[in-house]
Amino acid sequence: MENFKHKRLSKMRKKEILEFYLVISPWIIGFCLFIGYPIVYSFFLSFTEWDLLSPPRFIGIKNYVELTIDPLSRQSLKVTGIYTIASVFIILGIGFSIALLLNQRIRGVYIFRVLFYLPVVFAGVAVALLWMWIFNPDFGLINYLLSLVGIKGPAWLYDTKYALWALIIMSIWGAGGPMLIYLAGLQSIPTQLYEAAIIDGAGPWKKFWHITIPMISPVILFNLVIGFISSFQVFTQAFVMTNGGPYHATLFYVLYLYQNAFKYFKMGFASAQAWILFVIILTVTLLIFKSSARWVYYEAGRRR
Amino acid sequence: MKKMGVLISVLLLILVVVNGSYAAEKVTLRYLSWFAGASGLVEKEVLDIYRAKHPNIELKKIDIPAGWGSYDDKLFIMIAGGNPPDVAELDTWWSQRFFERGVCVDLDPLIERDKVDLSVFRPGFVEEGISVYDGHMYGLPWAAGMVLIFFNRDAFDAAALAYPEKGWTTEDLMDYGKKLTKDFDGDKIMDQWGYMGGSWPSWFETFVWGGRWFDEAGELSITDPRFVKGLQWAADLTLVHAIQPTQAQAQSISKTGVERTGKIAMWKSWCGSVGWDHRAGIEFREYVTYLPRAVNQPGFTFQKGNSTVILKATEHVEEAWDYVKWLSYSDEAQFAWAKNWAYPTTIKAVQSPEYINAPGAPNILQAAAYPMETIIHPPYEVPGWTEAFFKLFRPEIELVFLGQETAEQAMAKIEPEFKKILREAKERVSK
Repeated sequence: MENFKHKRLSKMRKKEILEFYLVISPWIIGFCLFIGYPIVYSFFLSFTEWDLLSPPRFIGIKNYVELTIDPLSRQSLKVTGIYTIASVFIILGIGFSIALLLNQRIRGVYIFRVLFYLPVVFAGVAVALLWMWIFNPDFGLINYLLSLVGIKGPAWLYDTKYALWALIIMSIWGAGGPMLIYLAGLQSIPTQLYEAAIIDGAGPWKKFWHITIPMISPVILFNLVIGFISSFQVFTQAFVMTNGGPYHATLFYVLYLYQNAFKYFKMGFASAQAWILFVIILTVTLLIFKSSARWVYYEAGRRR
Repeated sequence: MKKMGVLISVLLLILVVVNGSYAAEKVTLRYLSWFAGASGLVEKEVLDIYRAKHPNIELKKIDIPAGWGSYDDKLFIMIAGGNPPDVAELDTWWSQRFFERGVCVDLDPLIERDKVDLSVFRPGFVEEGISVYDGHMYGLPWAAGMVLIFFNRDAFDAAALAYPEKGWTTEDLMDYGKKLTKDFDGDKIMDQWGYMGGSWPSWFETFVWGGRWFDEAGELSITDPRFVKGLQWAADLTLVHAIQPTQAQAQSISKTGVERTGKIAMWKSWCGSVGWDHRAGIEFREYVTYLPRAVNQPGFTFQKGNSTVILKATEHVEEAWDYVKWLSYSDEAQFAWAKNWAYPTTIKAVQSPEYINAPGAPNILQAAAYPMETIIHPPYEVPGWTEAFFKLFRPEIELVFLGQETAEQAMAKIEPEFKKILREAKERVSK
């Protein structure tokens, strides 16, 4: 009887497994064809010289060696590094600050939440064009505001010293995304923790530092990782607003990758760039996760 | 039974013949070009003539939403993806890269077979760097043109200045520029600039004092004092003489079409754009003159050519060739193009009364019809030159125009890397 039951279960199990694979097969096929294969192929291409039209020619690790000595690759890494570090921390800080403000029980708070999130909905080329006007040296909003306090604003996008900082300032436009996630995190903090802290005589700062920050730390980790990954891949702003100039001041890594692939038709070199970018992002993400053991608090105990 | 067999055979024969002739009538040619908007309307007018005269050809124009800026990417990807058009327009900025990769049909045998007379084309269009690669002709010229100086007649009239004429010099340009750069209301913001070189990447200035990209031995000569002098002169129009707006100032006037705001007295542009503006209904108030020459230097025409090519992957070489020939070579197409003030490529059309005396057109058409004897174009044919131009030359020039380095320093800085790109490209092509 036991044996029969086992056999029957096994049959059911097999059927379930078959059904499982049948149901997810469209995704598996799609993934293998449209994501898996290009990834593997791009790895192969990174060891070749390929201009799209002639057959790829195997050249070993030449593309990777070239990457280390190519001055524009170094410049694009520097630009992307500065942008990533600056914009991620600015966005996280501003997003968190706005989320704290919008977590208050005040009249019309929903309107403010919508307003602060709205810029995230408007993105891409249209926003890039809008910011070009905001940074216009003569008639732009920023230089106008600076002129009110007697400061002559710089040429922003046309100045090698300020162009990258202009794009970093522009990145604040996307602070609504992390803000929303912070807000969700803040609202999930149990109120009894604050009530207990008040009974123990804790002030606002202590409540913030000892309850809010630890409880929201997993959300900070999430926003940090996502922020780093997306900042490393920034493209549209530079493509539309500066095309990497003036004098490579905004030559982001992905923009340079695009130029190599589709302007100079160096697909092999661009593939090598893509794999280096993948390694950089993976390394940074792993480092952040490794460091998170020291500063991220999980209510259910230490994360494994 | 036998009768039935004969009947079926006859019916089958009719079916085959009808089907065959139907198929022969319905050859589809896919044609790729970047013309859109007003220029697309002018182009459509010409293509419709072809369509009406060739009912057996279905001419399908493929549009490029991103326009000229992404055209070469699109064509490369179409070819690599096994879905190339039959016929394509190529700008000289990219044509050599397609030629050197062997994706275009060598037209020499077809030209010879059909006895196409290449002398009908304007001088400078049928040569290495434009339609020719490695001694073989891969395209017929089409929608090509020259760079000219446009000037605002109203600004000249208001300042009581005589219009510049053929033979004028860079010193004259400077003199005009100084007289025409004006702050009318005294708010220390210029209301009218004397000159604007613009973003048109022709850099004719490098040729003005006799500079050339390559010397007679074929060596890169961007550090040659004559070449450097031209670049520095162009930058000094902004930095020293303040008759030309900076890029930032130009954007403040208008994001696009700054020239037609009435705030620029003279600017450099491509003659063919007049046709598009005409079709778009823009009132044409400006006049046009030749590029200025330097004192004691000969004048020259700065040429820019496009060509129409047949892609090797086409299954309809004969039909495609017939179309290319019609477009570039026939009076029908050339005069339809000329009628719209665009820039025809045959001497007959460009010097025809219909073109030169087009009603409402100012002197541009006459200026465009008779180029200087010396015709110059950038060295598009040199493998790697385009890449080095965009990667090294253009960014470095931005610094020169910002006054952060001199043209001499800039050219000395980029020369080694420029040579490296050229060397690598040469090696690649030789493989």
